[in-house]
Amino acid sequence: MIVNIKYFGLLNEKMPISIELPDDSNLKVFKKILIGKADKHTAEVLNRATFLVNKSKADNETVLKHNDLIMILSVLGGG
Amino acid sequence: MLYGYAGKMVFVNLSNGVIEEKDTTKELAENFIGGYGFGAKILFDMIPVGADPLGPENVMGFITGPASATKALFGGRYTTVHKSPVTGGWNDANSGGYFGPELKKAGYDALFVNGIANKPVYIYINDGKVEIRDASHLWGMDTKKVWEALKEETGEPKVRVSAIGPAGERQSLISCPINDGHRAPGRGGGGAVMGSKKLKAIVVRGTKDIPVAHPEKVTEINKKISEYMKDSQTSYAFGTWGTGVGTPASALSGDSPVKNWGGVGVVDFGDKKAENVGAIALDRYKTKKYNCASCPLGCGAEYKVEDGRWPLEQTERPEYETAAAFGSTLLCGEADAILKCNDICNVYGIDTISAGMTIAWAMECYNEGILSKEDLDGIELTWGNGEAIVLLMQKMADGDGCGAILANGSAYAAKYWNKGEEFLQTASGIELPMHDPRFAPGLARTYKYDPTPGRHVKGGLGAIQMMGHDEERYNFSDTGEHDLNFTVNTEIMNCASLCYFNSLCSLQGTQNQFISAITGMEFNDEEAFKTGLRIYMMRHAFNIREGIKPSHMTIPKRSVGNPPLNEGPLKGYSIDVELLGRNFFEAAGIDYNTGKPHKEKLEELGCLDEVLEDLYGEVELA
Repeated sequence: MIVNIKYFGLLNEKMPISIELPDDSNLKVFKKILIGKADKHTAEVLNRATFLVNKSKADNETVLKHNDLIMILSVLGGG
Repeated sequence: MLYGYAGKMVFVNLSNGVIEEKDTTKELAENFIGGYGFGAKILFDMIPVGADPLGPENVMGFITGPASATKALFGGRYTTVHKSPVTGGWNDANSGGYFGPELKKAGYDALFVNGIANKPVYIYINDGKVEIRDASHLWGMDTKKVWEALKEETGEPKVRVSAIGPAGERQSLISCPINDGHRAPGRGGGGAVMGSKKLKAIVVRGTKDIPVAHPEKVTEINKKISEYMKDSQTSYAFGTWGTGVGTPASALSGDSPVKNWGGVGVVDFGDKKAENVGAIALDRYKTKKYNCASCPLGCGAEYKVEDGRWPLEQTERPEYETAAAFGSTLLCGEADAILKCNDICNVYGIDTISAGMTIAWAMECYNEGILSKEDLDGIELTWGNGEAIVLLMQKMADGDGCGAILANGSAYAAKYWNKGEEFLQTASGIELPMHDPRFAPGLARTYKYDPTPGRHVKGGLGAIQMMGHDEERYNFSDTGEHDLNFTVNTEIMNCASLCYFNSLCSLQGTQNQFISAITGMEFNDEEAFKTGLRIYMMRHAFNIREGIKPSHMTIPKRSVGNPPLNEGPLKGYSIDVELLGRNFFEAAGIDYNTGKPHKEKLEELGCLDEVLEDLYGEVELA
C-alpha cells in the first residue's frame, strides 16, 4: 500500500512525499522506514515530530491504510 | 576594572530633573549579572509597596548585560523592567535590535527612570552625557517617524531609539516601546508606564569599547558556536525564514492556540490557512534580511507589500508570536491582514500578543452574542474576518470608540463591559502567549506562577517539551528539579543579554562560558544555578511584598485542558498545573501557601538581605 506524506516545519526537500509500506503496517513501521531514508539531522527532527494520520491523533500502534495522509509536524519553538 | 560592564548606571528623576550616576559595583555584577537581575535588585529598593504603576513612584529600567556590546554571539538583547500596570506585579520584557549595545557603548549598563515630567520629554545619552530634552514637538509621532526626527534633531544619524508611539502616549495598557523601528520589549504595559511619565523616547549614541577579560576565549566560543550552527537544521530554518517558519506546524500540532484557545488546528484552522500565514509563504514580500547586534542567525526581515488590501512600502516580517496571535487564534488565514496588524502594532507601539489575544476575546464574545455589533462600533467581528480584524486593530491603535477600551487589553475590557469574563485567556490579567501548555505542559507552570506571568521566554520544563512530543510529559510527578534547572538557566541567559536563540539554535552550555570569558568571573554550573535562583527569588519577592502569592495567580481553564479537547492531536489531555507549581516551589525552596521563600534558602543563596528583612524581619547586615 502507499501512504502520502505532508511535512510541516521539516525543511528537507529530498524527503519522499509518498512511500510504499507492507499491508497493515502501523505508524511505528512507517516511522522506521521513513527515518531510514533520512540523513542524520532530518532523522533527529523526525524522532521528535508530531504525527497525524488523516488529521487525527495517532500513536505507534495506529494501523495505516492505503492512501492515508500522514502529516509530520516539526515544532521549532521560538517566539 | 570591572570587565564586561560599562561600569556605570544612570538614574533620572523626571519630576525634579535630577540625573545621578552610580557605579555598577562588582557585588551587583557578580550576584545579579545584569538585565532583570540588576532590575529586580534595584526596583525592590526603589519602588515603595503599593506604588501606582502609572504614578511617579514607579521606576522603569532599560538594562543591558555582560554580553551586550561585546563580540559574544547572540549578545544583543536588553531588558526593560517596571511594576506592571497590567498585572500589578513585577514586569520584565526584553528586546533585540541595536538599542541595548548602543546604551552600553554610551557609557551605561542601565538607565532607571522615575518621576513624571511636566511636559513630554526624551532622554538623550551621548557618550556619557545625559540630558532631559523637550519632546513636545515629537508627541503624537509614530515610532518610525520619531526615530527619523531624532536622528535629524541630534545630528547623529547613528542614534538608536526606544520610543513609544501614540498608543503609549495614551497609556494603553497593551502598549510598549519600540526600538530600531520594529523591535519591542512588548509585554506588560511598558508603553503605558513611559506614557505616564511623559517620556517619549530614550535616545542613545555611544562609541566606547567595553573591556573584556578574555577576548580570545570569546572568539574561541564564537568559533564553536559557528561550527555547530553549520550543521543545525534549526539554525538554518530560523536564519532563513525567522521564527515564523514554524507557524504552520505549530498551528496544526496544537503548539499554537486556535480560536481563542477553544479550537483545534487541524479541524478549525486547516493546513491551507496555516501555510498562508507561515514565513515560507510570507517571504514572497521579503526585500532584506535583518540581524540584531552580534547575531549570526538573522531571524528578521524587511518586507514590501505591493498586493492585497493594505499595501505597505516598508514593513517587517511578523514573528511567530504575532502570526499566531493574529492567525490561528482568530482563525485568520489572510496574510495581508496579519501583515497590516503587525505593521500597525510596530508603528503605534503595541504588543502584538496582547493585541491579537484581545481581538480573539472580543471575537468570541461577538460570536457568542456577548458583545453586540453596536458594542464594536458596527464591526462584524466574525471568526477569521481579516477586514474586521484590521478595522478593529486600527481603532485600538487610534484609541477610537470601542478601540479605546480594547486598547487596555481583554481583562480591562471584560471588566469595563462587565461581560465576557468566561472567555478571557489571561494569566493574572495578561494575555497568554502563543505556545499551548496542552502541547508542552510545563508552560502551564511558567504562565501561571512565574513572577512575570504569561511569558514564553521564561524557560522551564515547557521550553524543552516544546521541541518534541511524547506521552511522558503528561506525567506531572517529580517535575520540580528539572523545571527549576531549566528556569534558572534561562534567568542567566536573559540577564546576560543573550538571545533565546543562544539556547535554541546554538551550542548548549555556552552562556556560562561567555560570562566567564567576558567578566573574568569563575562562572561554573554551581555558581550559575545559585545566581539564577537568587535572581528568581528577587523577582518573586517583589510580588510577595505586593501581596501576590502563588495561590492568587491565575491561568485560564482552556489552556490546561479543563475540559480537555475532544479531538485533534491534543485530545484528552489535562494538566495538573497546581501540582507542577507545588513541585517547582518545593524544589526552589518556596512555601506554596504563603509564597515566602524559606529563610534558610535565602541565606544559602546570599545577597538577599533586603528580602530577608522584608519577609523575616531584621537581619544582621554583613
